[in-house]
Amino acid sequence: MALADIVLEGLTLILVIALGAVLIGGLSYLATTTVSANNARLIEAGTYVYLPGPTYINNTLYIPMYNIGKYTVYVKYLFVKGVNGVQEYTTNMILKPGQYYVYELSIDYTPEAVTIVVSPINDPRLALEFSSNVTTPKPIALTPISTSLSAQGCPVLASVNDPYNAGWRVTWTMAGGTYSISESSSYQWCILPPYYPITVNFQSTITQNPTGYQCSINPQTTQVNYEGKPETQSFTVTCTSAAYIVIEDYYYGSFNEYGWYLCGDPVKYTINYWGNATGTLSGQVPCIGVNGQYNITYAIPTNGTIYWNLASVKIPSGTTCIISPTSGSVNPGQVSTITFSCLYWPYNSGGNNNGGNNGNYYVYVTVTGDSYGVGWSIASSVDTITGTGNVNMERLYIGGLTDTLTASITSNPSGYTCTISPSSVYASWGSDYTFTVTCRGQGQPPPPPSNNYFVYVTVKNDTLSASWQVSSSVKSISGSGNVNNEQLPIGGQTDTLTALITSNPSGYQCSIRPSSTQATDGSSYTFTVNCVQSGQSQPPPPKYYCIVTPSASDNVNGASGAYVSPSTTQYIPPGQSVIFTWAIRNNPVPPDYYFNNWVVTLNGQTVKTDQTSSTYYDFQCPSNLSSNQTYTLSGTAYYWERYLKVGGGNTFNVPGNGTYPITSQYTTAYFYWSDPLFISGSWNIDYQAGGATFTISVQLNDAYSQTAAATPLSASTTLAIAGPTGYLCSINSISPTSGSITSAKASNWLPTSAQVSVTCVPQGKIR
Amino acid sequence: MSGGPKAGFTLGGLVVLGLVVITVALITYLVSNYLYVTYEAGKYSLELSNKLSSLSRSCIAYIANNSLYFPYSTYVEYSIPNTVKPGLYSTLNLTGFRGEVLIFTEGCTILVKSTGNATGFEVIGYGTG
Repeated sequence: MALADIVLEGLTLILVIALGAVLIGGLSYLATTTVSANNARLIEAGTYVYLPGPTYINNTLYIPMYNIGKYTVYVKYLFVKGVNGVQEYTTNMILKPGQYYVYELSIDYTPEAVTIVVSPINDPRLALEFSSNVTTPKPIALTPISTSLSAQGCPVLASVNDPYNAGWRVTWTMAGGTYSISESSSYQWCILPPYYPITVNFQSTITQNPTGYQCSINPQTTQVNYEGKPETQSFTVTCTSAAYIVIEDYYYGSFNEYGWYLCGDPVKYTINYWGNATGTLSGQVPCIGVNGQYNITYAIPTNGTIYWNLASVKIPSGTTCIISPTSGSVNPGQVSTITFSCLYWPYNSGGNNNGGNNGNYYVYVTVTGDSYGVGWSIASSVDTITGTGNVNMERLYIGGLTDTLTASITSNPSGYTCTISPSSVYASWGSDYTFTVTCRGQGQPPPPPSNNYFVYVTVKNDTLSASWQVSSSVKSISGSGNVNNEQLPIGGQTDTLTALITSNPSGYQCSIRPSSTQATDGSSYTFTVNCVQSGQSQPPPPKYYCIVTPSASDNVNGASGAYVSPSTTQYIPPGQSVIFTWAIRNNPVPPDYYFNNWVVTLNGQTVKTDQTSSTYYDFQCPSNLSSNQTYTLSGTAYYWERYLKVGGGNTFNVPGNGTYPITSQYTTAYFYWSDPLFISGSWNIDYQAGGATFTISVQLNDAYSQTAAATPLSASTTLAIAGPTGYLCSINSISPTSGSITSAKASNWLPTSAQVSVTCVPQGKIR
Repeated sequence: MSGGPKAGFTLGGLVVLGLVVITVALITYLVSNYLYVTYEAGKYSLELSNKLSSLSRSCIAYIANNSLYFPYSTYVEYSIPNTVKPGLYSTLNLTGFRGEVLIFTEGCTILVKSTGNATGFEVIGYGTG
C-alpha cells in the first residue's frame, strides 16, 4: 500500500469520526433539551390547584384551595381583583397532592376574582396560575327543589296540581334515601337520581283539608323508572265539599289512693248517617289526661244535608258517660258536635252499669212540685224510679237510644188529689226530663213540705250489734252494727241530730255518743257506740273534749278544690279518735301547676306529709283531759309548677388545650326545673370526637308522665367549644356521658361530673 | 489473487457502525420520551377533567326536611364554625345549626343560614368554584 493511500485512509477516518462526534453531540444536546421540555410539559399537565368557591362574607375572603394534581406545589402569591384593581398577597405555603386548605384573608373591599400563582416543587422554574370568581353570598335557591327550575333537563320532574290549596305531602324514596316535600299549593320540583337505571317510589297524602272541603290526592302511590331519559310524575289534588261531625272527648280517668292517674278502656261508638250521603262511622273515644281535650273529626263529602244518629255505644266497666246529642243533621261546611263526657271511676263496684238493663242508655229525671210527699213512679221500658218528694237528676235507664217514659202517682196525701205531668214523654239517651207534681186540696191544709237537705251518718264501734237510732227533725234511721255515711234527710240547712240506743245486746249496757249534735246540710257525722257488761257501771259522760277544727287549703288560691271530711268542728271524747281525710278536686290547675304533696299540721306543727292526692290523719284525743283542748288541724295541698328549661348561653369557653369540667366556670348555660311527683331523672351528653359542639340532654320522669297524664319533661342544649381568639378548638372526648338526677327541683344545674377534653389549633392551619 | 479487498471489519467500519448505533439510540430515546410524555400528559388531562367533573357534580345539592341532600355525595373538608365533621356526605342534617355556617366541600363552598326558627334553614350562598 502506498503511503498516499494510508494517509488518505487516515484522513477519511478522522473525518468520519469528527462528523460522527458532531452528530452525536448534536443529538445529545437535542435529547437533553427535549427531555427537559417534555418533563416540564408533563409536570405542567399534572399540576392543578382547584379553587372550590372563594367566598367573601363578613369582610373575610375565604379561598379554599384543593390540590387535585399529581405534584406538590408551592403557592407563592395570591392576587385579589377588586373594584380598585389587583392586590398582591404573599402566601408562602405548600400543598401536597390531595391536600385541602382554606386561606382566610381579611379585606375591606369587595373582591371579584382571585388568582393564585403556584410552582411545582420539583420544577420551581414553572409558574402556573389558577383563578376563580368570588361568591358574595346572597339569597339564591339551590336546585333541584325550586319552582323556578325548568322542566328542560330535569331527570325526574314531579309536580302537584293543587287548585284548592289543600295541604299535601309527597314522599319519595330512591337509592335507600327517603325525601319529602310538603306544600299547600300547586308546586313543581326536580329530582336528581344519583344514577340510572333507578326506580323512584312516590307516596302522597293530604295533610290539611281546606275548611268545608274533603280532599284527596292521586295517585297515592306510584313509581318512576328513570333510565337516563327525562321523566315526569304529576299528582292532582281534588276536593269536594264536606260536612263535619266532631266528637269532643272529655273522657277522664281518676287518681287512685297512690296518686296514680288511671284511665279506663276507650268508649266505642258507631254513627250512621244518611241523606245526601250514606255511611257509617266507627271509632273509639279514649280516656285522656286531666282536664285535657281531644277532638275526633270526620269530614263527610256531601253536597247536601246529611242526617245522623248514634247507632251504638259501648261503655266499658267502671266508666260513666253522658253523651249528647245522639242525633242531628248537618249541612256542607257545617259542624255537628257530639260531646262524650265520661269519667272512669272503678272504685264503686259495678261501675255505672246496673242490673236489669244493658247500662248503656239512660236519661236524667227531675221531679218538682212535690212539696206534699206525694208518691210517684216514672218508668221506662227497662227501669223504674219511685219516690216521694222532689228529686233532681236521677238516672233512669232506658231500653235503647230512645224510649218512652211514663209517669204516674202511686199515693196521694190524705185529702189531696195529685197529678204528675207529662204522663208520657218520648226520651232520647242522655237527655234531661222534668216532671211536675200538682195537687188539688179538699179544704185541708197541705202536708208539711219535704225538702232535699241531707247529712251523712256514720256509726262505729258497734261491735256487739246494739240497736241504735239517729234522728233528725224529719226522719230517723236505725240499725245495728256499724254503718258508713248513711244518708239522713234533715229539716233544713241546719238541724239537730239525736242518737240513742234502742236495744242492748244480752248482758251488755250500751250508749251512743254524741247523743245530740248540730248538723249542717251536706256534712258527715260520726256516732260511737260503747258497750259495757251489765253490772258494770256505764262510764260517766266526759266532762272535757278535744275540740278539733279541721280546714283544707292550697297554695294555688283555692283552685285545687281541696276539702276535708269531716269538715266541721269535732268534739272528741278523751281516749277516742277521729280520722280526718283531705282530698283535691282539680289537678292540674292553670296555668301549669300540678299537685305535689299534702302537708297536715296540728296547731301549726307538721304531723304528716304525703304525696298522694288524698291523705288522712287519725286524731287521737288524749285520755286524761283536765280541760277542753282546742286543736286546729290543717291540710294544705301544695302544687308545683311543672317545667324543665334551659337558660344561659350556648358556648363552652376554654382557655386552650386541656380537660375541663362542665361547670359555670366555663359556660353560662344551665338547666332549671320543678317536677311535681318526681320519680327519677337522667342526663346524657352527645358529641363527636373532633367536633366542636356537644349536646347536654336532661329527662325527668314523674308520676304524671308515667301515667300519660302529662308529657315527659325533657330539655337539651348544645354548647359550642369556644377557644382563645385565633384558635379553633375541638373535642377529644367527654367522660362520663350520662348520669342520674335525684332532685325534683333545681335552679342552676349542670352535669359537673362530666369532663371535656379539648384540643385547640391556630385557625387556618393546614389540615 | 492478492491485492483485492480484505474480508472482515476495518477500524473505519467499526467507528461508523458505532456512530450509527449511538445515533439511532438517541433518536429512539427522543421519540419514545416524546411519546411517553404525550401519553402521560394526556392521561393527566383526562384524570383532571374527570376529577373536575366529579367535583362539579358533587356540588349539586338541595335542602329539604331540614337537611342538605347531595344526590352525588360530597366530601366536606371544613366548616366555619366547626360543626360539620369532615367526611363523605349524601345527607347533611342541619339540626343544631345556628346562624350562618360555611361548609367547604371539595367542590364548592355552601353557606347555610338558619331562618330564625329552630327548624328552618336556607342556603344563601353557593360557590361552585
